[in-house]
Amino acid sequence: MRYKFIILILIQIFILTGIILYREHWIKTGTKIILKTAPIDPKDIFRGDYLLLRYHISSLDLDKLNVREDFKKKERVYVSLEKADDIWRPVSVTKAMPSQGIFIQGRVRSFSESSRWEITVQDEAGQIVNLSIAHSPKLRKEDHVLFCIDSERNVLAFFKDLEKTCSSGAPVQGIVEDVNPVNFRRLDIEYGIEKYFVEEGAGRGIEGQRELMSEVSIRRDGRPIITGLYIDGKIIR
Amino acid sequence: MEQRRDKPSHDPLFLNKLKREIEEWLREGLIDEPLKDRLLSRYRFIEDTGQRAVPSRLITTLSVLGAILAGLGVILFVASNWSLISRWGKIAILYSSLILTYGCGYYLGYERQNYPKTGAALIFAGSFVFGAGLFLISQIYHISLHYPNGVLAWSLAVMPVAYLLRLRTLLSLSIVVLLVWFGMEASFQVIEDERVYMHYIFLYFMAGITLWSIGLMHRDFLSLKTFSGPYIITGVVVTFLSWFILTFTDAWQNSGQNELLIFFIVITGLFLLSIAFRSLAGDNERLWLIESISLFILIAIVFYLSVSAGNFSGSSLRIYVILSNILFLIVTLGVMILGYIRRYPAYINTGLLFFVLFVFARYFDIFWEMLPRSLFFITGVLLLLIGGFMLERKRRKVIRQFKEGTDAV
Repeated sequence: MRYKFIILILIQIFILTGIILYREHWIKTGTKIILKTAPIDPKDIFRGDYLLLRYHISSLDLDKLNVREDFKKKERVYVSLEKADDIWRPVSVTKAMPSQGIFIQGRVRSFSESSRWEITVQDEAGQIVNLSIAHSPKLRKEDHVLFCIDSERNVLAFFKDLEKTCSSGAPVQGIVEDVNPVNFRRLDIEYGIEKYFVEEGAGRGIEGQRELMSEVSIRRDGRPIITGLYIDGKIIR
Repeated sequence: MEQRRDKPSHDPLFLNKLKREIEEWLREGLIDEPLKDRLLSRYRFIEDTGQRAVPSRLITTLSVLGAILAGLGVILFVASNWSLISRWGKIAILYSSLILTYGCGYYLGYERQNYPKTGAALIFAGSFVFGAGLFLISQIYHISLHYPNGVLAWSLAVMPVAYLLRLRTLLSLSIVVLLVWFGMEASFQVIEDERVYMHYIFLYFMAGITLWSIGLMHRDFLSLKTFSGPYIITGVVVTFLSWFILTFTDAWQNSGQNELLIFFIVITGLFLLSIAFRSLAGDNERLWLIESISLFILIAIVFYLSVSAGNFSGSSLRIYVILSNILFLIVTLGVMILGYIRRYPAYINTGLLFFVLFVFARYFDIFWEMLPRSLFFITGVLLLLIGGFMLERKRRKVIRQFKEGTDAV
């Protein structure tokens, strides 16, 4: 019985070792890319001891990407990526695995008709700036507003009280020229890299960060694994 | 170690059963007094160990609790020092605690044999460390999508250890983890709205029946009989629990498209296999054929309901609910009667529990609107007190009779 017991325990150890070696091989041999990310709700960053990450490729505007296909929930999809300024951005979504280029595999979380609001603002220098916001901003023409925006010109917050300051994002102050709702076909995708486990309490430093970068290793079939998180240009693993 | 091979199981429960059997053999004249003594002397070491380890139930409970706490301690230690310990450090802690707990458990319980309960508890803890290890690895590599495979690996890797060392607590752990995996894997496959839970009820209903039948199969083979309890108890409880939900009109939903068909087919396949094995066993229990046919009809009905993408509304819903209630009542009573005939306390206890739950649920459903509130509660309390008292008295009497070895029916 002793030997049978040892064999069974060895099998358990092999299972653990197998998973570790498989993941290590994936990290070593996969293509490294950098994706832009943000904690889903920066005010409530911790749910348990992991960060919930949302990527700029987590929600895609299919109309912008010129994708006409319809998708089903939990369907496997491949998002082709192209590098621009060190960050990889989405260029297309397909159901079949692309034969070339860099792509990431995910599963459809939801496929729906959605809306966003395009805001045209004349800034203090007289320049016209086009901004975008996910929810109805309830702004009118001629309103004087301070917007806090990210690098993609998405509005993170706005204030009609101009005395306020942006806690995150870049400030843009100006007069609203136009607000238009835009309907688009939205595809939400889950890639399996949405959780980043950290030590309890260690996320406090990350809390203020609106924009993080994830280093991801992609396997040949597009499946990703997180290998690190960039905070202020410094990588933590 | 070579000596050990000659020694049979050292499970005290086994010894108790054996003693009762031997008395029976003696009465029937199959064996004589000297042979009885020789047979019992083979197992004397269990008694010696047992006497030293009194009260054994308390020790088992404490050991299992201790084992779970030790396992949790390892996880918490790693979790609270997450960034201080390198990736390979975490893995090293995991491997060393795994080998240490298993090694100590085996040495104490099976090599030296003087601490069987502590040994079993440490092996139980080792299985927890293994499960914790699977999750630790998922954390180290930040895996968040489709990790049910890890849960399945946990259950399947622990099960052979339970069989080899004849540990029923470990088998129970493996079965419960397997049931959790079922739910996780199914929720990964179901594409529909998360609010539709009907698939899961059917899934667990069928899984319960299959576990139950696998347990009965174990009972028919002498070498596997020890393992029947965990299967039968979880099986009966899961079956009745899922079914109990379906005795409420409001619980039924239109299940729509069925993505779990493959699950239902596999579960039914396993069920049929267990029935096939049962029919191969030479020494079947009384009424086994009726029992197997009833379970077969039950699983066939649930299979039909789950794949027919039923439209459970209006008059068809009424019929389903009425049939579900009548059948539930018949089956709980049937299980109790079978328990009396076979002197099987697990059947009587679970049957009785769900029978009482059922009576109360229907009492609330039917009389809540009809009776004035005060009368409703007074009648309810009286029903509860008198019914509960009588049932409990009867139950205790029957189980005592089983233990004394007299005929119960």
